[in-house]
Amino acid sequence: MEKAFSYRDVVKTFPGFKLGPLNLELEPGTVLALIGPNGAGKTTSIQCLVGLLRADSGEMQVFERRNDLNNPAWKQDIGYVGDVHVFYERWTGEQNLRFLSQFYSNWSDEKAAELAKRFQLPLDKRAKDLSTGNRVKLSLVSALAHTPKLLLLDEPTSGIDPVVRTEVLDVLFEILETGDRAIFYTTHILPEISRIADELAFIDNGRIWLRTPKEDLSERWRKITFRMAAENIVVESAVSHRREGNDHQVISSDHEATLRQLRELGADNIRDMRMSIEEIAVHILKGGEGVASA
Amino acid sequence: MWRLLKAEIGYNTQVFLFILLTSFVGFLVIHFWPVLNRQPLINTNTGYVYLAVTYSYFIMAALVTPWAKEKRARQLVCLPLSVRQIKGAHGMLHLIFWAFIVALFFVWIRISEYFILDRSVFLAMGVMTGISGCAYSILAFASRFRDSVARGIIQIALILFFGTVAVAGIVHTYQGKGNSHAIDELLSWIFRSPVSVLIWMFAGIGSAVWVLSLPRQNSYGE
Repeated sequence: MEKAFSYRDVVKTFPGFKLGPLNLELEPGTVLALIGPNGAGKTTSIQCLVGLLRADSGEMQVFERRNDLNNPAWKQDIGYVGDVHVFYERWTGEQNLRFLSQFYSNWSDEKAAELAKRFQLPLDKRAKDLSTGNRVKLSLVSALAHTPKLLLLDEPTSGIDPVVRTEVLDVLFEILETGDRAIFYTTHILPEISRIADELAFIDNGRIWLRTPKEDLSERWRKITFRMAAENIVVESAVSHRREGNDHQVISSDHEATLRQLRELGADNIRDMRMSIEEIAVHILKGGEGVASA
Repeated sequence: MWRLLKAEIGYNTQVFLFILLTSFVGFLVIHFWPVLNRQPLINTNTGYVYLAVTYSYFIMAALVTPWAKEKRARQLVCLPLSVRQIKGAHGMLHLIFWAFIVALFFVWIRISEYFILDRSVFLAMGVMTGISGCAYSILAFASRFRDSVARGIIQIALILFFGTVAVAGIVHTYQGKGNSHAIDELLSWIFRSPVSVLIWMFAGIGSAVWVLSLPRQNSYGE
């Protein structure tokens, strides 16, 4: 099946940092969130794919076409929003959009106008006079107006205040929920991922060490409380274990295995509670690779 | 490439107006300022003024054109354009700036009676065009370094080198046969010898083509 994108053994090194070897692919219509702390390799990964960085080795493809910088047809299918929003600063938003429209066969002026309206973006203002939030909005309109099959969002809301971020994301997610496009989204702002992502990939030190469907995480991970007198119990699949007297609280990465063990051990008052994706992601990020294999 | 070039020319209209205005002011100053001793300008050659014009071009290219300041490459690389098209449009834009400046230069010196255009002037202009090509190539090559210190050192060294040549040329122009016979000889050879013209033109054009055709650039994000 045609992949929205694929990385094959991609390596990119900087002094003191190495990304990869990175192997990653995405099915069309899937939303993959790449999560990791600052400096983990999220931006490097996405910049290699979009062509802003040249990988040292390996190969990347977008809809089966190699991301060759001198054969740019593959970019017709991409919409990219990075953490830096570059425009012709002395031009208005409208002039910037008109400039971009020349390069995309699928560009729709109507769609651009509609998106701008939904984002409440003042297109008559010069880019240099736009607020940071409005610059993000202009970037999003620029990236969406040609209806790309693959949307690459690299921490698009970084640097904007929470109110504007919520406003931008509300509209963005509403737009994205109705489309059938692949999205590769990097972020370290966890609440953003739960609304949109189908799958999560965790990256640190340039290496993706866990990739999992979001539903699997919601299904498997639970917060479990129980009463038990035993002191040195090792709970199966426990990511964290807190104890106050005979009361225990466990975060389990496989609640079925944990519950089975606790019942066998005769624990009382066993209760399991679902966790939000943000909570789970925080535990995974804090626990590192050990959590993935717990 | 042409759509991009057209957009860039439209976007840089102010830069063209800036060039037109500053060159006109320069012309007025040289032509009408009574403090200037005009005789050396007639007796030596127009080429050194051309060198000053060349230097002005680099200052203008570095400070006035918004390509680098606005991180244009970062935006354009993400569009369905090849790197060759982007580089081609950028190179053409500089060529058009350059041609515009040179055209104005010829217009002004034809209007003023204080300049001459003879064989030695054209030789000097050839040399300076070659030097400009080398300078452009070094700047373009230095911009590839991620290390901002190395990049800065190369760019400052270039400015100093080019500035020194410019100042030497202008001083030579005003002082005629100056204090140092050896320096006069050297400057005369550099700017008036057909061999020197060939060397500089070859080096300038060759290095510019080489830099523009380099296949690998590791980052367009800066």
